[in-house]
Amino acid sequence: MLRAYQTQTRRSVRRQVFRCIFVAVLLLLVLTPPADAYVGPGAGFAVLSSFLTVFLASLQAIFAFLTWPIRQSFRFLRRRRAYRRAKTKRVVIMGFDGMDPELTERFIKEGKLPNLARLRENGTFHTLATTIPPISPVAWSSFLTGVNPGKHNIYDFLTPDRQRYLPELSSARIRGSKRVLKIGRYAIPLTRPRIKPLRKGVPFWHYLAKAGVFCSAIRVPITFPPEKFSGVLLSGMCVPDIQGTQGTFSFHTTSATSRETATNRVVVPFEKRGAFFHSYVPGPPDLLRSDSTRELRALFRVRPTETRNKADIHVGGQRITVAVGAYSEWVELQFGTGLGSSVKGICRFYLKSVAPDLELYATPVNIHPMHPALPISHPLTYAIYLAKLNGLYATLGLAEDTWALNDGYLDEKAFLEQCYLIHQERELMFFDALEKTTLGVCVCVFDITDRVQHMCWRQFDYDRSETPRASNGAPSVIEGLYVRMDELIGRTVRKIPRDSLLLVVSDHGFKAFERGVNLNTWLHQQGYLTLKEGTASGDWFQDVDWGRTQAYSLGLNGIYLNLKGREGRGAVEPGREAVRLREELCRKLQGLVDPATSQIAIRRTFDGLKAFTGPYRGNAPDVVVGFGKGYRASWDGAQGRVTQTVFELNSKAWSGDHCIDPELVPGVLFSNWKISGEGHAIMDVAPTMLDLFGLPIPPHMDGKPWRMSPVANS
Amino acid sequence: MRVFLDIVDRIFELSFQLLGPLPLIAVLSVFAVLTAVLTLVVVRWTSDQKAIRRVKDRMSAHVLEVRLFSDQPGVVLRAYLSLLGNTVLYLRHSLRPFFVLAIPLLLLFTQLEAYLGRTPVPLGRDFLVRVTFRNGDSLEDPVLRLPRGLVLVAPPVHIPLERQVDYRLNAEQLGTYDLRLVLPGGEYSKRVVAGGGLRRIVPERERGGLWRRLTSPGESPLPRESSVEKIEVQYPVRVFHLGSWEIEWLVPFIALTLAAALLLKGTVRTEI
Repeated sequence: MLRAYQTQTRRSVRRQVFRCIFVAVLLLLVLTPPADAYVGPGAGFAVLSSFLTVFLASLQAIFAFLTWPIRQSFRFLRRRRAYRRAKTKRVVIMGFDGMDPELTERFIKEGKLPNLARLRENGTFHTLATTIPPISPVAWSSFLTGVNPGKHNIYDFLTPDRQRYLPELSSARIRGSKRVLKIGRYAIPLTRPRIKPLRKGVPFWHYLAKAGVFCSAIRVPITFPPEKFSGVLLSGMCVPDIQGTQGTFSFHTTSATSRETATNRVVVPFEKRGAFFHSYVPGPPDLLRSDSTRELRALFRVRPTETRNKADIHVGGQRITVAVGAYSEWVELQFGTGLGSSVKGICRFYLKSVAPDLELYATPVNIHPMHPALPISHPLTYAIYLAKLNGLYATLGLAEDTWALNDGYLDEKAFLEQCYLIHQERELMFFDALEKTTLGVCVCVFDITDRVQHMCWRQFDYDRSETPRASNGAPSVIEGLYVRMDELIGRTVRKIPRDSLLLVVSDHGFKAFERGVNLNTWLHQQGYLTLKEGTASGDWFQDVDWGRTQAYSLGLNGIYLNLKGREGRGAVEPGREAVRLREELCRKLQGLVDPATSQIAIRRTFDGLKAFTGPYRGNAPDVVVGFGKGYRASWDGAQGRVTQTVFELNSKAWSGDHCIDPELVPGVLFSNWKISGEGHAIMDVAPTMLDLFGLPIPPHMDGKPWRMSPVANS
Repeated sequence: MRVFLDIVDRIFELSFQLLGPLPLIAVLSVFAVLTAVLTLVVVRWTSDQKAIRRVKDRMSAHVLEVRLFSDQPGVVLRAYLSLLGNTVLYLRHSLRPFFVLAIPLLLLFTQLEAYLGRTPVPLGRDFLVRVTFRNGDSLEDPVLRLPRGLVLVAPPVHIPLERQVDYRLNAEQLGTYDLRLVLPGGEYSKRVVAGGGLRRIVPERERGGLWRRLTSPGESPLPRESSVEKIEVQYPVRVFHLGSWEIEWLVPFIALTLAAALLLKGTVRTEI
């Protein structure tokens, strides 16, 4: 109390002193002859830099205005066909990852989603068929290209490296520079890192941009690396963190004595020196070293306050005060290399506790949007523009740290707070893009719906007829989430003109994930997968005898044959034997019953050769497994591990999922226009966009355009 | 206040004695760096650094916006208006440090002007001393008494319309002199510096109070009741050579100060 009073008094005195100085200087300036009044460099900086900025912007603006008629005339020639035949001048697509039609309908019936209810009443509500398999990168790739996975080459988050039987990211491959200058122990890259997109197919906004239709694409999954087109794009899902992973958080604690590293986390102990606790945030490997084994680190120290409810974090010359149970703002981290250059990233700190142990969580280090180490937007300046306009933001593809909650390093409250912080950033980006896209297409994907449902589904049984509430009567986390999204849709509807088309889509729905099926264990028990010894293996097929293995499972839905000539140590002859084996696996797995519950764990199976068409069908899983309601690939099985039992209880926080039979988890399709017909699918969006703007639909597209018409009083 | 100003005078005297042997540009650089550091420190402590950073970021964003959405005139126009708005905001955030810095910088600049703005009168070359009276009645009365080393080389010229009397003098020896103007109502002196080097030079001594004292370091103003308005010595202007250009000290000083501030802002952790 006394301290607060003293602080207040000091502030008041300081304010009075400033006021006196202000009045004195003002008088001085007023009473001084003009020739003697010198402005001074303080104001000089302000005036000069303001002047320079305004001057440069004026030049740009004048140039833009003067050349606008010429550019417009030129573009007009190209785009006149697009807008002349366009059924609408502006389309807004809001993508909600994982928004479930059953839940949405239930909440609408309960009167909790008035904006979606209005859309359904005046416009359209349909379920939206998802892809095989119903996984976000697959479905969103079909959304943006209008083709089946056999043509866009994305079948899962991960794809197996057929030679080494190890997982690889399915969407992009990042390699170091091709040319390096070696000086002693240093290897200085002479070219930029090589980032190869693995997703094939052309996004619909490329066709539209070519025809002169402006497009803004915000955080649509599988748009990393960003491809050039005449519009703006911020990459989404699959953008790596600064370490090149899909998200590795660090946890700093006084209770640890040595560093522990796992797939998605690093636990780093604090070292006490004086009043400070010292630690570091792990960064990328030092690529300037020939061996690249040295890890770059951002050192920081923490000093808990006397009250023990806050701590000061000193990092890179900044001091950030964080309260227990709260997140910091985005903190800029600099990872210096030996040669004076540095890589910049951003993270948020979350102070979990100060006593008895000091525990500090740091989010995965995101690529700094103002100084991107890898391209995350097109044009490159778009990411910088967004950061300058709205402040720093999460750039990591899977920014919401589900692993930290799953592994118990964050509690649910902290996880949800993180999700909503990221969502707020996304909303700002979206509304800015909406404002800028006065003509054309604005598409933005919101991920929060997927992440929160994954992690919070366990709280309630959504199969019950009534929407459950928490013990204190408060709406459940998921209900609250849907209400927030409905509000966002309401704000969007109010912002767009009536003749604009609004589409609200999701890539898949959601169901409970109660029990896991270890497909590798099943393959092992059925004799298709052989271990060198014992009945269990380590991660990623350690101890598997490949010479005597016919099939293996990697990822969330896929089984791959160990094919000769394709796999590193293939054992199955391509051709007739492979066809027979594929059919045999499909047959045996379809209808697989969990003896513990007597429920069908695998509802359907899909033969990869029959389910997909296109030039990349050869990269598809040979068998895609469509799990039944309540089931999914087990955690161990997805990581290539053989365990003792095929079925296991899922006791993790990650309790909702969608990697099951696609029929069970369709997405949603809402619109302020009437969309007639049936059998709408996510891969129809791309051809529909082309059709709306009067462009021909390329024959390779699998999706079909929808029949749509505006509603007079929507 | 006068005591304070005397102390300031003394500090600068000592500084210039210390820096005297250095080349002129080095002296200027030292003061530029010190000014930059002072400015940065004051800006850091007296301004809302977060707000300045935010406004600057927004200004950059609007510049980028003009480029990113150049095909949409409406967006460009809005961006430009927002840019102007943020510029005003930026200037507003800079006001507090500006007010805090105004007085110290005024002192600094008057001192630097005194040392670097002019050169002493060269030996053997004529120079003018101009006396301006408050009214034309006193024009016939003054008697100029010169110390040894200064000589009058022509009869005084009376310009009644301007209420002025001009004296053409010549310095024969290096030194600092006090010439005296004797009038029926009193006697007034003016310091004259002859020779070379970095010396404090105040070209005018004017009637006035504290403000005059502030702007004429090292020499007190003429009394308010004096019949003389001012006594002015016409010193040559000191110039710096930038190729074939001749520039006064203020231009390189501001350039050096800005450069130093930009270089040091990271070290001092100041957003400007």
